[in-house]
Amino acid sequence: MTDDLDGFFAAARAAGPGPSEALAARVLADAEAAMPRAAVPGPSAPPPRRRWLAAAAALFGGGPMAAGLASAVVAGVAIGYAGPVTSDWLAGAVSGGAEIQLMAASDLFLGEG
Amino acid sequence: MTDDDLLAMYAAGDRMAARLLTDRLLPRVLAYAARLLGGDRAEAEDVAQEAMLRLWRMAPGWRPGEAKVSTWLYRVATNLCTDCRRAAARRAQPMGDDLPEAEDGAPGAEARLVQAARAAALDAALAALPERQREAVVLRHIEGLSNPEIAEILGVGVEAVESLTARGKRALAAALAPRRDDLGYAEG
Repeated sequence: MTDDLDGFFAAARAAGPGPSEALAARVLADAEAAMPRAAVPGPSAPPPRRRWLAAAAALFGGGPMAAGLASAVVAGVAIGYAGPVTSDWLAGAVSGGAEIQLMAASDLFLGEG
Repeated sequence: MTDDDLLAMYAAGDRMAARLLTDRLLPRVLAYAARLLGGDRAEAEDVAQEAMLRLWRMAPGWRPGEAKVSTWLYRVATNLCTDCRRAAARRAQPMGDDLPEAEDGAPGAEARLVQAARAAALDAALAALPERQREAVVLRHIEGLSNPEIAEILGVGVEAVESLTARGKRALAAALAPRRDDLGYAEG
């Protein structure tokens, strides 16, 4: 009987309708939708604007004000970095090297205790 | 032109390649799914469409030469059918007894009727096989794949495939033996 199976298998291969047109259409629609985007030619879109940067600049008065603010920040950092030397020199010039006491040496905090 | 070539062309945006691949592969994966699902045409169409969709999505990353496209597709369809069977309640298998009527008396009509009856009887017998035996027998003897290809699809060794197909064929022979007379083997 196993020899007869070949006849059954041959009948099975020949039997059965193929895919319907509707199924083939659905499969091709899937293929279209899944087609890699890079391969589909289309108008080149401009890169999106960096809106957050424009909004931040507008918040501080626009581009010129943002530039001024940036300059002030840079100057502040530079002065802060060189500050200790400059202030020592300035203090020496004013006091002539003498120590200046802004407060009396009295016990401000221990006076009542 | 190989399936690998067509898949690469599709990935590059060639719509005609998609049509050619559909013409080649859809009938095979549909027929295979229908047999694994016991003739449930609607389920088989869903499986075939889903398997093809996965093929389209996989196309950009496909590495030619590592596996055959058809083998990959059969494996996907096998897994989808397994999911279907596990998700759905077992359905009745009415195909075996529903023999088509002869529509006319033209020469060859009787032969076609016998062929259709044999195919229906085989489908009914296949539906009664254990899942793995059914998959192995269909892939080997109806889809015509080699044992190494079937081993890759089912995720087993070649010896296991040989065992599955041998046991499946014995079970089919036993199931179909009582119908020899009905199916045109009485005189042979």
